[in-house]
Amino acid sequence: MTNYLLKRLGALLPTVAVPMVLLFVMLRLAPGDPAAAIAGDSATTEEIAEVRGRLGLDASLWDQFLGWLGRVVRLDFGDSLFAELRVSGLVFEHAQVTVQLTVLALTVALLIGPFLGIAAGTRRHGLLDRVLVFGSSIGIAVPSFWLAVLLIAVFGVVWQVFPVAGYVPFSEDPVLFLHHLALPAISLGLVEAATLFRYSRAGVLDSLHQPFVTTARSMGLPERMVIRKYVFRAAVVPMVTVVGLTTGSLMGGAVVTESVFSVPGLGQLLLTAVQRRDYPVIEGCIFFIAVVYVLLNLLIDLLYSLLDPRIRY
Amino acid sequence: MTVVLDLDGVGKDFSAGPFFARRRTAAVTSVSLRVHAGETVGLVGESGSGKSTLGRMAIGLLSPDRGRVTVQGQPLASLTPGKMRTFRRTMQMVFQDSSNSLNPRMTLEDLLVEPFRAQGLHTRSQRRHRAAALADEVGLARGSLVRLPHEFSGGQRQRISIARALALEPDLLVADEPVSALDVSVQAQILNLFKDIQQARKFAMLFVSHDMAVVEFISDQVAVMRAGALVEFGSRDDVFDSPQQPYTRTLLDAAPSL
Repeated sequence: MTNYLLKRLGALLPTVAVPMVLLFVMLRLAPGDPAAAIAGDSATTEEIAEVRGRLGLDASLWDQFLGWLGRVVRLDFGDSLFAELRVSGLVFEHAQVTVQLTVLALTVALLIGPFLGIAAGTRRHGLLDRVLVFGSSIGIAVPSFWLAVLLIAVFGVVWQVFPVAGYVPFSEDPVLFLHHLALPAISLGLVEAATLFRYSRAGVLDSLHQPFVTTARSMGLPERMVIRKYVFRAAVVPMVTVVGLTTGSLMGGAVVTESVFSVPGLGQLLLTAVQRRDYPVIEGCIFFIAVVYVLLNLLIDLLYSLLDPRIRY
Repeated sequence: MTVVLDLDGVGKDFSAGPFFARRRTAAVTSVSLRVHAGETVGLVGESGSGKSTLGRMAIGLLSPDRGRVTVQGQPLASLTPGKMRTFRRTMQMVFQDSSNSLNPRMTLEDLLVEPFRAQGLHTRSQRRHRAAALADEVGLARGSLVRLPHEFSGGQRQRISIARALALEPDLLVADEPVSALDVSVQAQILNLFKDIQQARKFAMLFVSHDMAVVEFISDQVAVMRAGALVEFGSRDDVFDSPQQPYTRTLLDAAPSL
């Protein structure tokens, strides 16, 4: 187990290094120049060159790379090119918001999806099952930002029970915090719930017909326990994968949904940084996302062994 | 001898085929059969003859479309779902495929404790104690109580299934092809285990198999099924030495002599 953990954590290094190097190269090859953006529209060629020199962007690509590498291995991403702010601080601040939003969205998804999946799976072809399957098809087909706009229209504009946009830190006012994040969390969570519903329903249907479930029934195990101990446990494993992967993509920033609600999360930070070619900020965001992805994958694999004793490391 | 299982004109239909041309076929047309305490009835027939369906109806896993199933004087059809759950301890089944009929996530001890838990019997420590005793009875080492199903061999897994079925001390045991997935040498061990335990516990057993040699070894009475109907019934020696039906003769001829 300890060996396994060390091996997996060791693999973290190359897994994060590869996208980071690719990112460095791609950013410099892509059109667009942060120096021109900083110097402004009316700047002369000399002024732009002066800014570029100040930012160290006039050195050869190789020299820039070596300097970058030296800083990145010390986890120092430097300052934003546009504001006198540390990248680490910026990423941390925005990631906090995204983590909060992700947790809320997952809570919504986990409260709805698996529960309805069991309800539908155990009543296959019933009215409830049909309605939920139809509903989940819509949920899967609809992008969360569209749902977001719909929710804003209904709950923000027509009934005015939720604010249409903005963010209040938890530490400032927990109630307002939830109030502001409710709609974004629901619009992200409902879409995830639809996927989770599909997986849990399929898992339940699959395990309901396993011979060992028949055996349990033939011993007179109450149906409630058959579902909980046999059927649901077997259905949970594939769901863990789905939850892990969607957590990863939510952490990467639900860019559009965050923009719709003006939630200052990682997605928004990344989007602005890309638009302005703010290299250090982009690199900081991507580094954070890559590390989170790797750790999430590790967590999923560890959860597997907890849920299924056949899997040992 | 008391009648434990009484099948009276029992039949079951299944619908099959494409949606617009769905047809109902009788898996079992109408079968009457009795199994007494301490007795083993071997049920033979080729695949699709309805033997497994009959076995499942005998312990109430399937409800018959026709006829009546009575176990220990209790008609199964008249039991409410709750009563049926409790009554299940009277009748247990050993399934053919032991690798799938055991929950892959449970250890041997959990698997052996499960029947007691299902019926809400005994305290926790009593259950563990009984689980260990069951393991002894079917010849599984106590040291293997912490192992998972996939860590056992096919024969050992079948021993687990037998132990689980015996845990509730049933009056009726239905064994559905319990040895057909095993090597011949292991088959003999498991068949002997069935015989020994039955002699000790005196339950009634319906033993479903397609293998004439197995049936000859284990049975007191033999029932031959074909296309959902019982075509011959008699004591083992009668059926094997002087079969009355041409179909039974065909089955006997088809069996390789060992």
